[in-house]
Amino acid sequence: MAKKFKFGLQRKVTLGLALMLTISLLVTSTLSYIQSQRVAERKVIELEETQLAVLQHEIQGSLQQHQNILLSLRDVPPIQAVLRARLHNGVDPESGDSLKVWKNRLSTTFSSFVFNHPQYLQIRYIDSDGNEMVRVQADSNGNPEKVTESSLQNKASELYVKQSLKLQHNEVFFSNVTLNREHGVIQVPHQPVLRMAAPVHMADGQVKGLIVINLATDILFSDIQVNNKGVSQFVADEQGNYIKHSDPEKTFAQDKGLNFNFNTEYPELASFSNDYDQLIRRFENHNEILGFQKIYYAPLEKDRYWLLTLQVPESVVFADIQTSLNNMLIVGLGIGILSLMLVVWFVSRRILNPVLNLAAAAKSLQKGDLSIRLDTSLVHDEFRTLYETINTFTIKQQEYTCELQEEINAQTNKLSAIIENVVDGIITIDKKGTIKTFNQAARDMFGYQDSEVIGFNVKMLMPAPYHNEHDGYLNNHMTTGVKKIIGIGREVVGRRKDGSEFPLDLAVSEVKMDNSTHFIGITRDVTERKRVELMQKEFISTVSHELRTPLTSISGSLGLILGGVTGELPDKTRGLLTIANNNSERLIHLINDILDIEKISAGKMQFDFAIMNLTPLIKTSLEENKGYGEKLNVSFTLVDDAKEEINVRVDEKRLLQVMSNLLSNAAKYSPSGDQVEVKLEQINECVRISVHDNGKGIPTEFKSKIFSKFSQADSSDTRQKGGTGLGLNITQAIVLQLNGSIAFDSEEGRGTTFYVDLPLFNKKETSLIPNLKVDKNKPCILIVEDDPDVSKLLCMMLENEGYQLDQAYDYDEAMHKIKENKYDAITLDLMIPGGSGIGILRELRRHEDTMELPVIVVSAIVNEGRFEVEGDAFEMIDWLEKPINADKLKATIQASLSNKNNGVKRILHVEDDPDITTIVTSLLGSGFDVSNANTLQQAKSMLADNEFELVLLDVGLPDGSGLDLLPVLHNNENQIPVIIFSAQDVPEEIATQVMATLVKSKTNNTNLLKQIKQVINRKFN
Amino acid sequence: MLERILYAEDDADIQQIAILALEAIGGFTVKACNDGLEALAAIENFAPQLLLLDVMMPNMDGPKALVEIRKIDAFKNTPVIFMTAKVQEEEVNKYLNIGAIGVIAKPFDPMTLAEQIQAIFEKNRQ
Repeated sequence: MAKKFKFGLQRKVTLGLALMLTISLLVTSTLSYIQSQRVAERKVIELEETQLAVLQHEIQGSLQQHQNILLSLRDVPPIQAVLRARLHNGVDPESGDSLKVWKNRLSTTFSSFVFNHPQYLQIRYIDSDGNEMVRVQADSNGNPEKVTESSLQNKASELYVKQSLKLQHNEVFFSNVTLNREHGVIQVPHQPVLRMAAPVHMADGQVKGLIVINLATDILFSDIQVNNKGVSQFVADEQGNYIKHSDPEKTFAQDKGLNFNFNTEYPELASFSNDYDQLIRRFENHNEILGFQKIYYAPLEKDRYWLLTLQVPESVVFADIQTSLNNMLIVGLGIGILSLMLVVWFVSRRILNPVLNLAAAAKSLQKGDLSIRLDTSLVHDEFRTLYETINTFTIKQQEYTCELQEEINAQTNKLSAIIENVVDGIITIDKKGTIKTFNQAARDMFGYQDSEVIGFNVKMLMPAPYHNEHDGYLNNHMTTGVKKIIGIGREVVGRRKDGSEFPLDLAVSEVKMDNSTHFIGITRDVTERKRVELMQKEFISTVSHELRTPLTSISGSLGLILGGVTGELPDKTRGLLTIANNNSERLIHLINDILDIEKISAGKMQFDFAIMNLTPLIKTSLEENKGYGEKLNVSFTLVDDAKEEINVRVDEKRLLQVMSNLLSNAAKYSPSGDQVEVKLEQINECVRISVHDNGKGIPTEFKSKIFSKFSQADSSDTRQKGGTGLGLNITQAIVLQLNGSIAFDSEEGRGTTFYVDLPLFNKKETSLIPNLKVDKNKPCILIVEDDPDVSKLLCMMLENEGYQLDQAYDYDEAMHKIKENKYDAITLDLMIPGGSGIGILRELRRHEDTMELPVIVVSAIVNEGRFEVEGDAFEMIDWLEKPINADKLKATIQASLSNKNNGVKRILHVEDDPDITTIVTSLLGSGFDVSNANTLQQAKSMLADNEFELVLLDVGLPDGSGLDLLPVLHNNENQIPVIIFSAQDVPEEIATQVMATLVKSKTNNTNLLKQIKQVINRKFN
Repeated sequence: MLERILYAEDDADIQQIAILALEAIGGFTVKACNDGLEALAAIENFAPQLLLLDVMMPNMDGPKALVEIRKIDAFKNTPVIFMTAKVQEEEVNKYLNIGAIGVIAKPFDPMTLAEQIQAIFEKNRQ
């Protein structure tokens, strides 16, 4: 069960507040995050600017220091001494020491500098011609090494030589930083080198050479952190060559012939470097902060610089603020939730709780709970007024309700006292049969207590088979409204708790209670009544037997004596014995009549109806009563006015009884020697039997009483005429049971005529043979049904549906009519006089003409019938159970008729042998329109132009295999069924695609015809 | 040709009248018994062609006697007619259902009793 989730007020408020708080928190933190980002960015930039400035300062400071060292080396005395010695043929005139000595001294000075400054790779003195005069270099261990004369080189072509010779005193030349080369070859391991050179002037200002220091830049740039926590610094020169970089490949890429250049890798920074000495900023497209600081390493040349470059990824920049932001969010949310709880608590306490209490109270009131009271001490102001009002209302309402309840209880008690004390059992059940109430009488009757029955199914009170049928019956009633007992009442059998069964009268009524259907059953135990009834019946039977026994002796003795067995009687004796004999006979009649009267009044007289020809029946009655008439010297004559056979539906024995009563009455009242005339005539739909006597007639004052019990014209007549006075009463009762009527016509002195009118069942009259020819378009239906009322009912049901209807009342009539006429369908009762409905069914199916006549069995014993024909596999049968549902009948007949093949069936016979086509065509006869195709091609074109209901297919055709037609037929929208009729067997997979396969040599005509008809019928069913 | 009738009837008066009617008028040979048991005892010796039985008799009633007689091979097809005052419709049907070929109602007409029996016997033979 899907229950819609509903938010209460408290939840709504809480959720709303939480939502608002969360949104504001998010907005605030986002704003502060952006703010912090800016601050962090600025901080980083400031920090890095400072760092860059410090680095620049350090590097330039250290360059300045080296420049100072270089200049001081230039001024060391051995330099001037060497110059002087060279001018004066190898001897210093001032000291008198040779050039060699001074060179030695100079190299010693150089050595001490190389030793003290590990970053100095070489210190050289080169003359103005470019010849190295003195050269000291650091060996692989950093120790100074004086280079021998022979290893000295000429460096006149070097840029630093050329440039520095042009410089003024105290000016210094700085070379580009390059990898160290010797004799033009890059030395391994790679050693970046900066060459600083200062010119050496004579006292007269003449340039006489230069001092060069080769400085290893590693140490110069040692403070540059190529990679520190994501922050990388590197150095490029003014051409964009990397001279210090974390990536060794990129470092001196140009020297190695590789193509990495700052200007192409950082074009934005490079372009800024044209205009700025220093710049740091965030490049959002790179997600990093980039910056540079120019270091002018050659003080004389303003276009020569190094770019000390900085690269900081944003993740590094903002790493710290991310953490702080997270902290802020946690703290913020914590505070938020705390305050939320505070707010909710406050709102609940002051506003929500009262409202919720009110809502709960309202809900209770709605459910009818008036015991609810609101605590006014918890609330203030308007809420208090509201609480008090509700409390007052509920108190008052509770009082009213109590009063009302008492009233209801009183009424209910009265009512249940009545129900409990009623003599009849009253049981109510719901529409599923569950027992709801069970009164005292029912408890006494069935022997159950309330707890043993209430809530159980009512079928527990019924023995089999009712026990099992009841659920279905109830269900059927609820869905179709068919009533078996409701509103009618009948005698059923009940079962007590102890299992004993007893007869009970049950009346059921249907009521709507609480929007659902209930049934009230009123039961009365009729065991006692039945017992009395049985006793009564036995009493009458016994009394009649006990009366008959002595009468048998009396009348037997009298009969024998009067019959002359004991010899001749004197006349007087005979007269007296005749009186005794007549009266004993009267007594016998009286007993018989009393038994009949008793049966009639109890409705237990049985009638076995059959359709009979009336005339022979009347003749029999005349014959039977002839003897009685002769005793009275009265004769009976028959006048038969009917032109045709008169058929009536009667119980033969009872009609004879009627005739016997009328004839004996007429004879009794006729003058001796007279005639009683019996006449048969047809009046409209009736046949009238009149019995006329010429007696003295019925006195007027007696006419009204003539059919009453024990009535005779007068008591003296009684004695004179004999008879019981019950005869006409019985006669009238029987005639009414035969669906007839009885009347009389009498005039005192002129005789009496009794008329018995019976409904006519004249076969010829009702035959439809002529009518059938009148309207050929209307379907004609034969109704086979022996009960004229049911037959009439069926006719009425079908009359308006446009059918022609014909009726048959027994087996012979039905068979006769079916033979004579052509019907489109028949309805068939299974229990009919003269044979059975099943017999008709079998007979119909035996004959070719009627083999497919649709039959609708309408009977009270449908299931037995179905069982009986099971296995016979009759087609075209529908079964309808009595009582008949008109709509169902109409629908069934409609369906049967539309199922029945309408008109002529079109068959395409694809066959090249003309003999076979002739045989098949004549075999099928009328009712089938057979077209022939001799070739595959012809068959295809015929199929395209015409509609067929069946194709009979040969396989071997002049222009191919008939099987090639199968795909065409399957694609046809009507799905024409196919029977293969061929000289050879067809493969299994083909056989499954068609309705039947017949091999010519193995198939006889009957078989072929049967198959064709079966396929066609299946199609129409 | 019907000649030998075994007759069971407990009422002596009726028995006397019926014997008279059957022997004097009908010319049959009648062996009369007072109840079903007697009839059963007499049947083998008498070898009747027809049994005429009253229904209500002491010791063994007519229908019971019929059932018992049917158990004797020699008489399982011997026709039985009931002659009784209990002739309500359902009673008559009951007798016919257990195998009687006819029922004659009491009081009977002694003058025609033999004729009636002869007629029922003939009809059954067909």
